Amino acid sequence: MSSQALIELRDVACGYGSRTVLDQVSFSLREGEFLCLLGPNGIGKTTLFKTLLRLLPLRGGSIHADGQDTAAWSVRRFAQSVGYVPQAHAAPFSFAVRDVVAMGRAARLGAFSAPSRADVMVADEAMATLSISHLAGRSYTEISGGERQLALIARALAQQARVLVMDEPTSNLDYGNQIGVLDHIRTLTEQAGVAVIMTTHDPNHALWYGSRVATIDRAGGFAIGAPESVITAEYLNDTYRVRSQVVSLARADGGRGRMCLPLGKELDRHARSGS
Amino acid sequence: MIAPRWAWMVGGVAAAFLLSFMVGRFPVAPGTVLAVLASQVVPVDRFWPAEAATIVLKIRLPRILAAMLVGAALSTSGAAYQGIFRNPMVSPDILGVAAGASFGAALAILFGLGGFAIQAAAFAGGLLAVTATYLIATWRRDPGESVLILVLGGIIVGTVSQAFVSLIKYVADPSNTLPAITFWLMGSLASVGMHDLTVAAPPILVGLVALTLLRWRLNIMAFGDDEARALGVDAGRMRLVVVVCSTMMTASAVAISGVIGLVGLVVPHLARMLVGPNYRILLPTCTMMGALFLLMVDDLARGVTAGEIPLGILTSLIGAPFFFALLLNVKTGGR
Repeated sequence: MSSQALIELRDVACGYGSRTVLDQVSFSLREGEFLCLLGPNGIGKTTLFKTLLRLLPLRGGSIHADGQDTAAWSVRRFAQSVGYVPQAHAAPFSFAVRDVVAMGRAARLGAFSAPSRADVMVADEAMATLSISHLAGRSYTEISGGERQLALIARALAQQARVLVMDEPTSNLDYGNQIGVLDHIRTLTEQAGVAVIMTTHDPNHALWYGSRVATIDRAGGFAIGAPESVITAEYLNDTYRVRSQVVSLARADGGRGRMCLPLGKELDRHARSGS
Repeated sequence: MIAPRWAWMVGGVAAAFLLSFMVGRFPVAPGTVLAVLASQVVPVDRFWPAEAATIVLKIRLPRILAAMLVGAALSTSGAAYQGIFRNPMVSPDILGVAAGASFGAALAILFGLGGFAIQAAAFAGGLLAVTATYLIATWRRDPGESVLILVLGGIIVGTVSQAFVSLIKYVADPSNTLPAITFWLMGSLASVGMHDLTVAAPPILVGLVALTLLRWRLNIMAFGDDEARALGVDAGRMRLVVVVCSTMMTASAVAISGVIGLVGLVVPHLARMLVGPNYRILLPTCTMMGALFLLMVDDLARGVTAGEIPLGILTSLIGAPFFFALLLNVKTGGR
């Protein structure tokens, strides 16, 4: 791991309109890190992501990338350092998968340029990395949700940003595709030298794949640390009102693995369900 | 790999251009057309009667050029609007741009203003209309219904614009201003002269060049503002540039030809069926197919019957069933 942070948030405050949702968020990501962000619905994960991606204005603090404050950076310059992988979605037009992946080159091209042969090769390599080369000529609207998610990750790889921000890449995927996508992301962080920050709703995904985990609790408190120290029965109980047990098991392929086991949902005494 | 396709397109447009000189009541032989056109550039021994030259150069040439220019403008701007609004069902007329532009132009005619002022008023009306439609569509963000709301927003704006146009017709002088407005509104190229072209061509060509240069980035806008920004494209600025260019092109087309319905919807869809959705290829294809399409429909308008059918009526009759077929397919991806 190199020592310089690829991205660093310093005392970031974020929110919509006049409302500040999260305050005093500080963390940094280094090469090879896989940070999972966990928190209940509506608590501000999306707001934090949008602020991190500079889609919402910063309400306080600063965001540094490659050792520089990004406040004065253009949209294009920022996209060269930080890429975004949205949830798999439908496109209004049936672009070929290769064309979608090649769109990742936009931040590397002038306003009047289109991808050159070399850019298409970068896109092809990105697809090969994720083992989806066979989809290159298919229509983006006709492939499965898991394949679309991989295509969007490939697009971010073609962008050649070293920080990838992923918004619930496993939602709407079946079990096999979830594990497949997560495996690919882990391989990327380990081999391609990128850092990933990903939101997830499944604490097990964070336990299994995260090199670090950040949590947001009901009061908007932000915590970050090693997966086993952050995802505890107490956190799950306090945040989700789910009585839980976090167990450590011997893995069949060696080492130990943790997983959390739900024991049951507690009734919300304050009758403020699902914020 | 791309070259033969462009060769076909350019060849088709060039052939239609030359053949269109032979359409009409006064017969002009192909050789005469070529000779008269060539005589404008290189010295040619004159063998044709004087009226043949007049018909080719003064009557048919401006009309053919206008048909190509208007067709290219409406189709290219329609394709651009579809990308920028992430919606394959929009076009200059569906968004209310054409109606807004005709309101502006009718107002200018009412006040007895000339070519350039009509252009500017049409542009202002078109821009106002597309802004109003966009605001209506984004008032309540409900992505599932966005196609419907955008189309309905365009209908509202179009209806209001048409009401204003009717008001202008009501107060217009029935002896001269009213017939001028009415005839122009029907959508016709019959009275286009070289002077109209010199006023309308520059804004259309400027918009065309700008959109052609930016065309690859239209693909990225189809994924929404947030994703476009995350990919390094300043979505707000891009939308502004594309909407201004497209509206300028539509308004200039409306100012010389009136409202020619549904071209901006039909041609981009036909082009998308032929070459796929990638704007890098799609946009120039739309430009050429649009020029070709309107040229052929205009040939039909002036060739089939002795009394001429206004062009706007023909394109609407051709376009309406097409739009209906698209609506039937919109659930399955609206390709």
